[in-house]
Amino acid sequence: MEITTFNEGKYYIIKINGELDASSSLILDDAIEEAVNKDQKLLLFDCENLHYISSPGIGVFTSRIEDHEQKKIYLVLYGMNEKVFNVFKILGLDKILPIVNEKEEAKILLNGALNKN
Amino acid sequence: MKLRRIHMQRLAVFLAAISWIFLLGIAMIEQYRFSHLNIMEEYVPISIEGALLNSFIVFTYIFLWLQSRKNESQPFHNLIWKVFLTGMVCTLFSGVLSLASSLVGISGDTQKLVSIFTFRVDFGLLTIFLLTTFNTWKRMILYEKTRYAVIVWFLFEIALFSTLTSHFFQLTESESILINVFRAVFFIMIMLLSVNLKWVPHLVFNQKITSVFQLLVSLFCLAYFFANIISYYDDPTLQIEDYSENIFYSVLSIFIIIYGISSLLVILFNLPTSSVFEKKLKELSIFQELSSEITEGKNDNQIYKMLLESASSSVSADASWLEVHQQDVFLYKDITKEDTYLIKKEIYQAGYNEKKLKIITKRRLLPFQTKSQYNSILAVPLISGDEYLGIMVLLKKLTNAFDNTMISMVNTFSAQAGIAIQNFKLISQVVESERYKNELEIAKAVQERLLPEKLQVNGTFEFFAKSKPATEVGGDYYDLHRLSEHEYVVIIADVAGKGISAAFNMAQMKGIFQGLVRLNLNPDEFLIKANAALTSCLERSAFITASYFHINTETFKIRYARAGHCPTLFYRDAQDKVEYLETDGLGLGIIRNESYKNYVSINEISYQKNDIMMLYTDGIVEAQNTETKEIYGFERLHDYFENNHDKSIENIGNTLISNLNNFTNAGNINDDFTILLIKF
Repeated sequence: MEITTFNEGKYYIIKINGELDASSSLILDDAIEEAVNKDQKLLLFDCENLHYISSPGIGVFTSRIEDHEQKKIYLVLYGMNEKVFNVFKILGLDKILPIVNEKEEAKILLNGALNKN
Repeated sequence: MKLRRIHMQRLAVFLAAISWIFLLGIAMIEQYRFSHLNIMEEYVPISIEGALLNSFIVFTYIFLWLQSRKNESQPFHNLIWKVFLTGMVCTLFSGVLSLASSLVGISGDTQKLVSIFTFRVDFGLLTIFLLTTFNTWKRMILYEKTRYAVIVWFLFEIALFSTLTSHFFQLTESESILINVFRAVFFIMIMLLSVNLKWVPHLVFNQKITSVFQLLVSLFCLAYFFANIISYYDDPTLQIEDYSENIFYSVLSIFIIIYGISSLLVILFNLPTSSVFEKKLKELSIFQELSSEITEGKNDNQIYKMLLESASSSVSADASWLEVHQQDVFLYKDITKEDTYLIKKEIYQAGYNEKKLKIITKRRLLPFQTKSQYNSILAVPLISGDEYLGIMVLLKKLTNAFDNTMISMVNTFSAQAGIAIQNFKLISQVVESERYKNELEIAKAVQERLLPEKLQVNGTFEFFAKSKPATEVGGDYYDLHRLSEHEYVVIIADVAGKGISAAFNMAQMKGIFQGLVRLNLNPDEFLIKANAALTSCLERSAFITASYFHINTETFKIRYARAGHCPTLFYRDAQDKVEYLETDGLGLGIIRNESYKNYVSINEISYQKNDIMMLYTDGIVEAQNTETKEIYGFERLHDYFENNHDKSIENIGNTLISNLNNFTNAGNINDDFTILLIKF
């Protein structure tokens, strides 16, 4: 698995390529940690090239939910394929993590969240 | 009755003694007849006398042979010592006897008889001495024997003992010539045998010196006997057998003298190189010791100690030390710790690089020379595997005191020790991992007990369950609890992740289930309470998925709730269709506050007889083909169930698992998996 991170204006994009399993989930976790340390508030996870996700991979997202709420960090996942989305859906995560199809949709969603506060 | 060796020996001695006494008796009578009656003829036929002599020789030899078999592995210097001792005792005995006979001062015919007696005694002693030596030489010749040596020896021994037959006859002139031809053949054989001296190098220097001395003395003893016996022949008034021409005795004596002299010379020539051989032997024994340390799995400290001892003694170091920082090992010999610091500093300055052995001999390199008395320093790195362990330093006062042999020896020692230490480490690791393995086996057994062994369902429905962790222990959990006569609770849960941590969380889940189930909560309430309970005891990234079913066999209703677990498959007999029970529900431990209740819901369905419910964990649907990377998936599972619902539930479950094993192409499912089937 490979992770690339870059800024697009105020948005911080984390692009996940490949399979997110137990070992690679640590890399993603480090990437998120880095984003938080850089004081990034609007995180976009590009899942277009995420082929597979395992439970520890899911754990990376779930473990930070409360922390992000406190720090007012907003995140959106986008571009997921059906298989990966199904994993999120079965776990019920589609109800608590914003998951959309397109990057632009994601940006709009984040903007909305930002404005609400 | 089987004769024991000791009895045989006694018998041999007895028979030899009897033979000798008869010989003595005959000789006495003949002497008496010669001096008193002047009769020259033999009193008894020569064949009888020959038979007596041969019986004396043969039984003496048998006795000695039995004696030597008793202790076969004697060292060679002991063998020579035995020859020497026998020679000394025989000579002493003979000397004392002749002295006594001359002191008694009798004369005339009685004196002649005494002489005959002493002659017979001397001759007997000589025979014993010769045969003892013969037996000893035999063992020495046949040491590290070659086939060739064995054959020559065999021929020699046969030929030698066959000459005993000559004692039965009076030999004629022409036969004596023939005997000379035999003598020549014997001489050649003796020369061939005399080069078999492979035992000589095995004597250490001191043993060689004493052996030379003992051999010399033994040869002198022999010379004494010969001179002594010949002196009897000078007296014409004595009627005695002339053995000087006897082929058995002459061949035996020549063999003993030649082999004795050749041993003597070879030992002498080996003396100067003896120390080299001894040193090699010592090195060999050190190697052996080191190797045995390795196989015995001695610990590091013992190996270091051994290494320092061996290395410093093999180069005769004046002082030495060995240090290994990691383990805090510091061993020093004939040197103070303070001095080692100084010298060590110097060694590093001289370019010691922890990879290669370093020899430092130039005195001017050492700024502490005024204090230090060592002019040659050998610094040896200790390396085990790829790891640098420490340093061993050998010091000598002499300049240029380390030659190539010493250096290569020390190098070999340290390499050997390196292997020993690595071996020790490996053994410890194996022991450790074995221990973990045992612990895991215990954990596995404990976990297996956490899953219900027998599922009591009272005939209202059938139940089948199969669960297998990917490694020894796993995170899958299921349970069945009977609340009342018609009410049952079934749970299936899957802890995210695999292995030990998943197993611990699985155990917690069991605790929570057992604690809450008796409260007879609604399925959604159960999940909410379970989520709250897990909040405090689940690490942040972990979560658990679960499905909880409340079955009422009286009303034919199932109330259920799902917490992120794989959707349940349900076969309805009436419609002959399989469907997934779709319902919302968030995994346990994902949201750890009150709001969790917003994410679970309760559902209710009715069932009829012959309906089948299939619960499973994600190990089933995520089983992956190792080549195509394809996963088994929900669709395949649905279709499989629909096509096989008419089978018994055991059959449905077991066939599904073997299908999955085939599907993965690796023969096994690389994840924890559980399958539960309930047929109403």
